This record gives sequence, structure tokens and C-alpha cells, in this order.
Amino acid sequence: MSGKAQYILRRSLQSVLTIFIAATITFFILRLLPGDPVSIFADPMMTPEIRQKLLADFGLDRPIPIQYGKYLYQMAQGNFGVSISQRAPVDDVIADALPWTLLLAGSSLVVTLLISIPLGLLTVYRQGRVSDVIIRAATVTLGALFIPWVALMVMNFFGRELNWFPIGGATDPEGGEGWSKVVDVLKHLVLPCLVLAITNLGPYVLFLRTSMVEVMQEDYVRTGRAKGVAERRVVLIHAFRNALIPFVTVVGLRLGFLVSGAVLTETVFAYPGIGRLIFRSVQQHDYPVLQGAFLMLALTVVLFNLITDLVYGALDPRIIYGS
Amino acid sequence: MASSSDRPINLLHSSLQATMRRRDAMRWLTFAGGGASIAALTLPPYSVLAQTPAATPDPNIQQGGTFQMGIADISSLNPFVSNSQQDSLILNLLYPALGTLDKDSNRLPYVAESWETSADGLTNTFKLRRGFLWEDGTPLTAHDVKFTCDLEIEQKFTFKTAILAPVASIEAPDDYTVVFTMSQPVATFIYDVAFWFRIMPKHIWETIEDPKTYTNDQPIGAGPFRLTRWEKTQFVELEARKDYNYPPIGRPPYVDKLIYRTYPDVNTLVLAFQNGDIDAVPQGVPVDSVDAIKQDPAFEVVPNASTGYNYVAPNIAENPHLANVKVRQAMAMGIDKDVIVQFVFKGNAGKMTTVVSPVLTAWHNPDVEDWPFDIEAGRQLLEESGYTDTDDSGFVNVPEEHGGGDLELRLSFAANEPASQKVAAILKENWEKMGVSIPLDAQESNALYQRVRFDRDYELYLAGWGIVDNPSRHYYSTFHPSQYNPGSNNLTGIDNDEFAALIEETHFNADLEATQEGVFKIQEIDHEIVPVFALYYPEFNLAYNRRWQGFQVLPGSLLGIASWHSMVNIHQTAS
Repeated sequence: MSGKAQYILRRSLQSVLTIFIAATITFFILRLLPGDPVSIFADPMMTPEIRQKLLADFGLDRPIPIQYGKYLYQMAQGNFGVSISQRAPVDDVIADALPWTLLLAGSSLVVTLLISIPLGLLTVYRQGRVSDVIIRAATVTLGALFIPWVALMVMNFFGRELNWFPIGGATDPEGGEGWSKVVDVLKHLVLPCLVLAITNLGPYVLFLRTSMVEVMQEDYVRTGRAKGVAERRVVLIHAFRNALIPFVTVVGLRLGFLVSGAVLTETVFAYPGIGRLIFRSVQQHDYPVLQGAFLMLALTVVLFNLITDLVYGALDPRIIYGS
Repeated sequence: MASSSDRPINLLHSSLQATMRRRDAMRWLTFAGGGASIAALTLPPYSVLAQTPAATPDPNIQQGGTFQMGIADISSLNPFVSNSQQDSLILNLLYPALGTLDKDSNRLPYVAESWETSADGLTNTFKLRRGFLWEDGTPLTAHDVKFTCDLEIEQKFTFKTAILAPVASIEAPDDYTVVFTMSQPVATFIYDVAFWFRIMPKHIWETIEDPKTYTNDQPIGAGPFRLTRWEKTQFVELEARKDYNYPPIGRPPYVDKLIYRTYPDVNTLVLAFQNGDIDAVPQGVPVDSVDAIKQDPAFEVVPNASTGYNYVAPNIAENPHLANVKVRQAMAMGIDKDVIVQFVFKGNAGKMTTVVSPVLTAWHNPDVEDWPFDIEAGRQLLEESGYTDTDDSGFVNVPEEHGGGDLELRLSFAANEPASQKVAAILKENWEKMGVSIPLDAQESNALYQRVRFDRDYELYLAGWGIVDNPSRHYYSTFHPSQYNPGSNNLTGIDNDEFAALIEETHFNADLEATQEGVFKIQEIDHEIVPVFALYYPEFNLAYNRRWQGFQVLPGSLLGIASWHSMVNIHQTAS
């Protein structure tokens, strides 16, 4: 077995352990929340007997260790149980939402990179000058804004005032089929994607700048310059490629944020993804959905970390996997 | 027909709108369910059913078009387990019930042709109409009604099952007769069962292995609309059944299609409405957006009062001071309800006297007057009962046998609801002026729920009920001592023999008029003994675009402008 294959195998085993721990923590944290899912159904008509029956329907009357055992057993079979508030299999509920989140998170990652890399490089060129300061201050400020507020402002301006993009949703019920459907989906994607991207710029720009500034002081950059290599080439080829390694790490780590950061964005934009699902399930104490959704998030983060590690090798041939 | 989830408002407050900015959580979630049954009980009960209106299609009415509404997230379209108002708006158009109501709250027969209660109240008989067909062509019969109610009793799907608790057996002696035999008479039973339970097709549901988790993606109904598309978490599309000619309407709907788009954030919904993307907001717009919408001539805003109410529950069972009726009476005189209504709700609310809302005209006793807002009189009553400010602290001291310290009562409420915070601040100011120290205790709503209902660890609890459709049942479940159990709705533990006896005798009674008279009398005692401090009922602002007309607004109801009757009657405004 090659060093790389061994490495992947070892990392995969670690990943399984990580996911098991994440699943366990999720299970117990949810049980630590005060109240229970049935309290959501409280009503002047609710009697304690009906309440007890509802708890029993969802297996919530059993002792916690038994609930936990059942949860692990079902999870091993890929079964996350039944949503308490939606009364549908959690697998289906998540399968309905996941494609939308992947579309939104994926496209906003691309947009974020397309904006943040040029901006980051610009700040290096303009280090210490006004434009550098403005870019840094602006991207950090954008990241500190309250997403629901930004989202409503953006919808009001681009949706209601200019009428360029629809207000909320992922598709129009009357949006047609085929190509017109594709166009409809893209039109609905633009605003949430934009909000998610601009509020996420800060860390990417700052990190790229820091790591570029560091790399620019390396000997090989000085050598490059001394050889008379054009400054543009020094920055883009010599320095940038080396600065990318820590940058890729950050991108990988922040992917989890991108998906979880979509909770507010998706909710305000009425976008039918995992984020909105998590928001509503938290309110309703829908344990099974939350367990499923958080496990999906854990899987995403673990998977992307693995991919990130493999990308290092492509970026820097000196990195050798295995012992 | 109406399912409901009246949630206590403290929970409502944990809603999305509460955690995001400027939301009006109550607005969304208090809606919870219900509907027809509520309106059903707002008017005196009819012994004779109103006549079916003749079906005369008006040639001047513009037919066709797609009517779009914005609603909160749908929970389930399985009518047995569905638990929110928005689900009900849709399900009521797909599945018929035994009875329905028109805009004047006349009880109209729907699938039932007539109903009758025996003199002893133990036998309730429904006669069904012939000719109703399920979408697949199977006739709708008494066996479907029996099947539906039997399954409800067997499975105890939701709190609604409580309505069927006094039923001993259900029989269908022939295809068009259903007989409910009771173990205890309940005068309101026939109305409860006619309006709360949608009839389900037996031939479909008897083969379903687990009706609790069945998602019912392709419902087979017998209503004026059929479900054609359901994009989960996005929208539901219903199509009018152009072959529909059943009573009480006797013709198909005018509109071609209905689309319900879901918005988890009410602010986005309002923006979409203002932009013309959707034609109506059947669950109401928040107080802060109402003025902008009212000013726009394109929109019509319909005020619609909730049947629920907000209150402060005193922990009578556990707190010796609150157990003293004089203290409660004094505190009742210390609440400035006008300020609450005008300042917190900008007039979009009404004052409560007892727990029976004035909205429920058939039940509300108008002769019971509220305690006057009179801090001096309240203070005097406290002094007469041994609560005097002996140490000049500004707060009255409790009698020596209780330690003699300042009278201090913690006021707990859900932290994530802006309205509750304001109301709590007003109460604190009022009561402290009277000499009662009121520390405010803002809590996460679920934690508070646990503390109040199970641990009984509270002194004063500010909360609300979303819907109270039947005050007789409400008094029984909320104030009868037999219901003071962990987790139950009886929060205060009030134990007054006269009050309890009257509640019991009123609720289990064969005669509807006697039940209503009983509720009138109960309110007199309610006023006297102050089991809770009833504060106000919220009002919702339902909005629609004037491109459409023909709405039949159900008064005091939560189906409001999107009821069954509205949806079969709306049509485009000729331009």
C-alpha cells in the first residue's frame, strides 16, 4: 500500500471516530436542553395522558441510555428516525434540504474566493496604503453585520426597489420547466449567495494577506527579485503558490461555518436548505432532525478536512503522506 | 375540520420571529390552529341548522386565476397529526368535516345533514348527506366518520383527542348515520366533533401501517380543492375541482389554483406581499408593518381578534401571599390595562376582564366588570389584610407569621418576546407603586416551561393561551383542582370549592344553555377570586391585495380570510 493510501485509510478511521464523538455530543447536548419536544404541542386541551402518549410515540419516555443505544443502532443503519414536528422520516427531510444547501454554500464559496483572493492580493500590493486599510476595514465590518438585517436590506433594494431578483424562496411556483427553471433557480440563488459571500469575506482576505506578507519576506522571493523576475510574477507565482497552503487550510476549516452560517441566511431568504431546517428544528426541539442535520455537518467538515489535506500535496510536492 | 395547536404564548416566544429582529411571535404562532370551532362558539348555538344557500353562479364574477398566499412553515399535511394553523388552512380545503360556518357564524351542515342530541345528552346522532365522493370516486359514508374518530381515540394523535374522551362508543348503523354514545354528557360535544375533526377516507387509511408517521404526500380528499404539487419547504399548490357541486356551496370555486408559499421569517413574507409576489397574508402582519400596508391603497387590512388571551398566573398553591385572595384582589386593582393595550400593542389588542374573551360573545358575561385601576384602593386592601409598610422601605411588609419582610413576588416571563418584556415592565411599575416589590425574571422559554409546569418553581408567570374556543372546557382543564398535575394546564393550583363545583357541573352537562349559563356564573366567581390576572387579547391584522375580492372573514376566528368559505368565493377584481 502506498504512503498516500495508508494515509487516507488512517485519516478515514480517525474520521469515523470523530463522527462518533460528534454524534454522541449532539445527542446529549440536545437532551440537556430544558423542556421537551412535546411541550411544543401544549394546548388548553392537552391532558397529561395524551402528553405521555406522545412522549411514548417518539420513544422519549425511555431512559436516556436506552434512547442513546437505539439512536446509535439506528444511525449505524443510516436511519435517523422520524421528525417530531414534521412527522416524516428524517432521512427524507434532510435529503430534501441538502441539495439546496450544497448549491448555496458551494456557489457562495466560489464567489467568496473570487472576491477575496484578488482583494487579498491587492492589500499586499498596497500594503500600508489607504486602499489596504479600507479593504481590510470594509471586509471585517461586513462580517460583523447582523445577517437578517443585511438580508432584508438587500431584498428590499434589489428585490422590491429595483425588481432585479425575487424576494425569498428557491424557486417560483410558476417558474416553468427546463431552461426557464434553471434561470429561475439561479435568480433565486443570487441574493442569498451574495449575502453569505460578503459577510464571509473578512477572514479570507485577512488570512491571505497575512500569509502573503510572511511569504514575501522569504529568501526565494528576494532571490526571484534579485534575478530580475517581474514583480507580478514574483507575487503571483513565487509567493502566492506558497501562501496558498495555509490559506487552503482556512478555507477547509471555514466550510463548516459556511454551512452553519447559512442558518440565518436561509431562514430570512426562505431558502429551503439545512440551515432553515436547523433553525426551525431548534425551536421545536425536534431531536431526530437535529441529530441528523448536525451529523451531516460533522460529515461535511470531516470530509472537507480530508480533502484539504490531500490538496496540500498538489500544491506543494514536498509534502509526503505517510511516515 | 379545524386542527389546532394552541400553544401557550411563552412557547410561542421561542419562535423564529422572536429570535430574529422585530418579529411578532405571537402573531405567527398564536394562530395556531383552529378556526371554525372557535367561531362556532362565538355565537349562540343554533338548534336548527341554517339553510344551505342556493347555488347561483354569478355571471358577472370573473373566473380563474391563481391566488397566492404567504404562510409560516408547514409541519405536516397528515390531518391526524398536523399541528399548526397553516396546515389547517390547506387541509380544510382537502378534507370535509361534518359541519362548517359562514361569515356570519351560521353553522352550516357540510357532510352532515342534521345532528341531534338526546335529552340525557348521552346519545349524539349525525345524519350524513348522500352523494359526497372521495376524489377516487369512492362514496363518503358514516363508516369514514366512525373510522376517523375511532382511530383518533385509539392512537391519541394530538390534544384534540381530549374532545373524544367522554365517548363510550361510536356506531354506524347504516351508511349515512353515525351515533356517538357518551359516558358523560358534554353539551358542546356535537359542535366540537363537527368542527374539529376532518373526515378521513377509511379505504385509504385503514391500509396504512403507521398513520402517525405517514406523510400523506398525495392526499385523497373530498373537498373543493385537490393537492397538485407540494415542494417541501417551498410551496403547496391546490387546484380547484371543477366538478365540485356539493353542499353547502353547490358549485366549484371561482379560482383555478391556490398557492401557499412558506416563509419562516414574517418580515420576508411582508416584503413579498408588498412587492405583489403574494396576494394575501392570512396569518397576519406584525404590528410594526401594519401602518405601511394600510397606507397603500393596493391593500386591505382586516383586523381579527384572537380568542386566546394573555395573563399573569399567580402560584396560588405554593405561595402563601398569593394564596390570600385579598392580595390577589389588591393586585388586580394595580394593573393599568389601558397602557398595555395602547403602549405595547398600539391599540391592536383588547382588555380582558376574566379569562373569557369578549370575542366569544356567546360565552362572555358582559355584566362582570373589571377591577378598577386604583392603586390607592389596592394598597388599602393590602393594609386591611395585614400587609403594611412598617419599615418605610416603600414596599409593604408581609404579616409577622410569614417573617415580616417586604412583600416580594418574582415575575417570570419568556425573555425572547419583546411584547412580554414591555408588559412585564409596566406590571412592575404598577405593582411597585402599590407597594409590592416585583423583581423581573426573564427566562429562556423552554426552561421556564419546565419550571412552571413541572417544578412549580415560580411566583408570578406572564404568559398566554393561543386559542380558547370553549370556555367551559378551558375552565375545567385550567382551574379545576382535579387537573392540578405535573405538566397539566392548571398552573396556579387554585382550590376554591364553590368555583370547582360550578366548573365541574357546568362542563359535564347535557344542556348547552345550562353550560352557557354556568360559564356566565363562573365568570362572576372568577372575577371575585382572581384565579389569574387576565390582561389582554391580541388582535391580528390580516391583509390581502385588492386585486382579489369575495373574502368571507370569519369573526373571532383564526382561519380569518383564508377559510374554506373565502377560498371558494374569492375571485379577481375586474380591472
